[in-house]
Amino acid sequence: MKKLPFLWEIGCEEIPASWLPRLIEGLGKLVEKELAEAGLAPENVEASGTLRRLVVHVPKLVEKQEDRTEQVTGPPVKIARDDQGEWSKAALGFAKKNSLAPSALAVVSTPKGDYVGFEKKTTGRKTAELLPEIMASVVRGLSFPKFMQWDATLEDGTPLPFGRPIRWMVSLFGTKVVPFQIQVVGSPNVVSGRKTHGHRFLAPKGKRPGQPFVVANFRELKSKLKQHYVILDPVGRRERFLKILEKLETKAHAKRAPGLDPALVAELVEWPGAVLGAYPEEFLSLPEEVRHTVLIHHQHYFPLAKTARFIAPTNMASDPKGNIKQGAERVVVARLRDAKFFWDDDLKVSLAEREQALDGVLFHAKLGSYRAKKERTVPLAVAIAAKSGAREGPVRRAAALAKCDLVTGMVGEFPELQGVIGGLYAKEQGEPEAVWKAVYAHYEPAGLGDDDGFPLNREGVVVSLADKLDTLASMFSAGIVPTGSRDPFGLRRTALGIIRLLLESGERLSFPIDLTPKELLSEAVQDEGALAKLSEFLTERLRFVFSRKYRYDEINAVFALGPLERPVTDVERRLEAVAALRGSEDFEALSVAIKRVGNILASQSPGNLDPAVFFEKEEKDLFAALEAIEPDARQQIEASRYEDALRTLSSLRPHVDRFFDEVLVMAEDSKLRDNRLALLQRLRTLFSEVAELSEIVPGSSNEGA
Amino acid sequence: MTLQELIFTLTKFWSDRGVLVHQPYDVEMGAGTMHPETFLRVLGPDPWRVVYVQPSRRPADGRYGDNPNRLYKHHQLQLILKPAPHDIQDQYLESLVACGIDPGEHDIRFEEDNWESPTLGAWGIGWQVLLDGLEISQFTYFQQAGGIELAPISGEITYGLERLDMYLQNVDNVYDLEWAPGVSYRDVRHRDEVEGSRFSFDAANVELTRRHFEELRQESERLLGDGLVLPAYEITLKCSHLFNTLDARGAISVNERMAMILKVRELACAVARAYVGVEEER
Repeated sequence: MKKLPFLWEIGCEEIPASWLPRLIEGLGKLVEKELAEAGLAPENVEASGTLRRLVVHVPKLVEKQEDRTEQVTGPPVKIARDDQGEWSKAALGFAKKNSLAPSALAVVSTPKGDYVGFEKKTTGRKTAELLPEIMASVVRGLSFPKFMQWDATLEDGTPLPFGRPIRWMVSLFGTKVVPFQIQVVGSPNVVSGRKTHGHRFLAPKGKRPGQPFVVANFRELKSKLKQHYVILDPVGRRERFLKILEKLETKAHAKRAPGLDPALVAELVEWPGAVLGAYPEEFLSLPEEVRHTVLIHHQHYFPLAKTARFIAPTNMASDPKGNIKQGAERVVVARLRDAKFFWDDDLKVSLAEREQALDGVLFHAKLGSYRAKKERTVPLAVAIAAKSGAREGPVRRAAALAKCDLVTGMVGEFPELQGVIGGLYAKEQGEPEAVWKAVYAHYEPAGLGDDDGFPLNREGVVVSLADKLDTLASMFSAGIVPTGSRDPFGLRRTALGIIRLLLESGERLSFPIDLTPKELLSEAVQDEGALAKLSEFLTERLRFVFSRKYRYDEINAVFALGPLERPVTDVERRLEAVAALRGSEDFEALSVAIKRVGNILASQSPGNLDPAVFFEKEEKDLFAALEAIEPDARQQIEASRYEDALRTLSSLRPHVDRFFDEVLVMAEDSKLRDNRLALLQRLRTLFSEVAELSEIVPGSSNEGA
Repeated sequence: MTLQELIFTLTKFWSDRGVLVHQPYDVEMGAGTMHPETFLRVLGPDPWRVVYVQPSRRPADGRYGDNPNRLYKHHQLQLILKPAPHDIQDQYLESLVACGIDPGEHDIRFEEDNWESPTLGAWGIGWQVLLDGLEISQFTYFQQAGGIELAPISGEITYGLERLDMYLQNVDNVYDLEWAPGVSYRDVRHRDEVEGSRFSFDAANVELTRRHFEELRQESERLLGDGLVLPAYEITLKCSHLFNTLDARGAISVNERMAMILKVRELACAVARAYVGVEEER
């Protein structure tokens, strides 16, 4: 069948840059789905776009749906013919119902017998006719993080909320325009056509910026847009931008400091450019954290490390009069001047003196101020310090100071500096290193993100733990529990932060935390109901963290021992061991055997084990083997060498196999039976010191996590 | 371009496009959005196009006249186009050209920035407009006001006059702006800034302000009960400003703050409902 290209551009007012990657991907998938559902079997749907346009291109799209033939049957022939062999009333009724002449009826043989029937031919609809419906479904189905009303309706009269107003549309199937209209109150309709728009302010020589121009196909759209200063493809935009960044880095003899993703910045523009700016060196007296926050968070500019220079991205091809550079510098200097004012001014008051002012900062309406939070957090931090071996003095001090920066001018103006600036103020004001460093990074890690930080020292780990635990404990006690997609206070992330602290503190800071989550929770929560809910919540979060690395049945096997009742690192070591061995034949066979033991023991109560009662060779062997390895295994478990322990235990497999092959556990003689049950019980107990292996689903190790 | 020329230019630009030129509202307010010509006119179905300057006072932003960028009272040029025309962005950009800004020589961007006013029960979708990295305008498609979903949607453009003119005059300190030939912003406004800051941070009588807030709140409710919607709104605005004064004065506890915002919001929403109801009856 003949295939034609389909091109669709939705021209919009500026879409938020952070939405674009997912929006473009979502558009491609949605178009593909709608085309497939319409029976148009698209081969290759390409989506691209910029903040002012979303584009879909299907290079080969069939011209119409396939014709379909289906057999429609009516009454059985017995009824369909009258005595004369003519079509009966029933048959004629069937013909009429299907708008057929009686002559079109035929006898159709089916496995169930002969029926009257006919072949129904459905001619496939033309793609050109279907596309407007498909486009309507797509613009309706496209998902935005936030929708707006813009007085727009589709032709069926239903409103069309969208991410930003749509201002033009190109839609071509082959060479023909696919008609599509959007009505907008008080404005001309948006009518699909062949005309697109280039860059808002740039155009090729001799053309006026903003004037629409005609395109015939996707290739031409891309190339003409490029002439009109728009790079349609996000990857192309990013590459161009990176090249410009590198050129300016070379020119400045400096490298970009981390903290701003060029890919995101490239979505803010249609024609990536950049200018090199500088601010007076006097501002280098401000900490780098402050300068970079001003540049990155407030202006989306790239700081150049160790210099008073920066790169300001632009949406322009050049800066002939230096306006852009000058403007960028002025904004930066004004901001830095503010920051310098706050820095000098804030330092006039010691952090500790600000504690009282924390009364005025609300943590949560039901839970009071940050001062109240501090009052709860300090004893909690001290208790954790005592149990984990961190120094109490610095922990107490840091926990008391941690939130005091919330009432500084700097955090009022640059909220993303909270914590960091408190640490820097504490340092300037002569707090010991252990204290200021603990304050500095006590919000970290904020979650599972790769770019989340980590406390800088042991005291910081304890303060961060106490702060997060208090948040969870107090919120849960007040009945504020995340449900479904609702988690307005980010409690899930808070829990992930706690888990990471417990998991990584040993490796990162040689400060392993051997406290169990249960112990930590019991320090933080008084209310029984909240404790139960929080325990369940934290278990679910632990499961989530481990599910990124381990299979669900491995997690079940280890969690069966109580995930909150041992250090999180111990849980992970057990998971590592189970995951490492699960592929081996001995291990899987033993898992099955253990499950069998479990089933047997579930309905029987074992007696006491008495070696003298053993009768069969195989049970004597198993007992001897168990006796022989048990001390080793226990020692290995004791030393948390779970993988070694599992290997040791795996050596029992031949004995276990032979035992089950040759020995009847449920012997008639109750003395024999109870003794055998006792042997199995001991075996099972030993295995379950590592993990509950009966949870392992055999043969599923290759399925991938 | 002096500050007054800038005001002339923008006002003329929009009046030439059939926009009604209104005047500032004579009650203290934090932003041009609170002017009844915006807050009430965006409600209901009737088209409306209006532009005006609104002195906007934000007691907590005062800096005793010492800060080159921050003001206790600044000036907004506020534009409402209801319904928002399809070329509203282009028209806005032309207004910048009228002020002498050639978009080909600058970097003008529309960056996501949605607006929300908890005290007015209002929010909208839009952008901040950046001129070479400097925010010069707020551009909003109103979605809700006084808790009421809007149809048609109004386009609101707020020019920060001092910001924009500092750029045009190439000065780094607001007090160095030329307001009129030979007359600086300092000459016109500095004392106002110093005393306004002292008033709101140090001198405002907390007890009196608190009492006035409560009395006026009740008065607004009473007036609304009598069907006097516009006076009730005017008094709601006074409550809002009294709240801002108390807030800047550091006289409000955390819980009280939330409660007061809610009280003003309830008034504003009641006014909006009454206003729409009255319009429907007519």
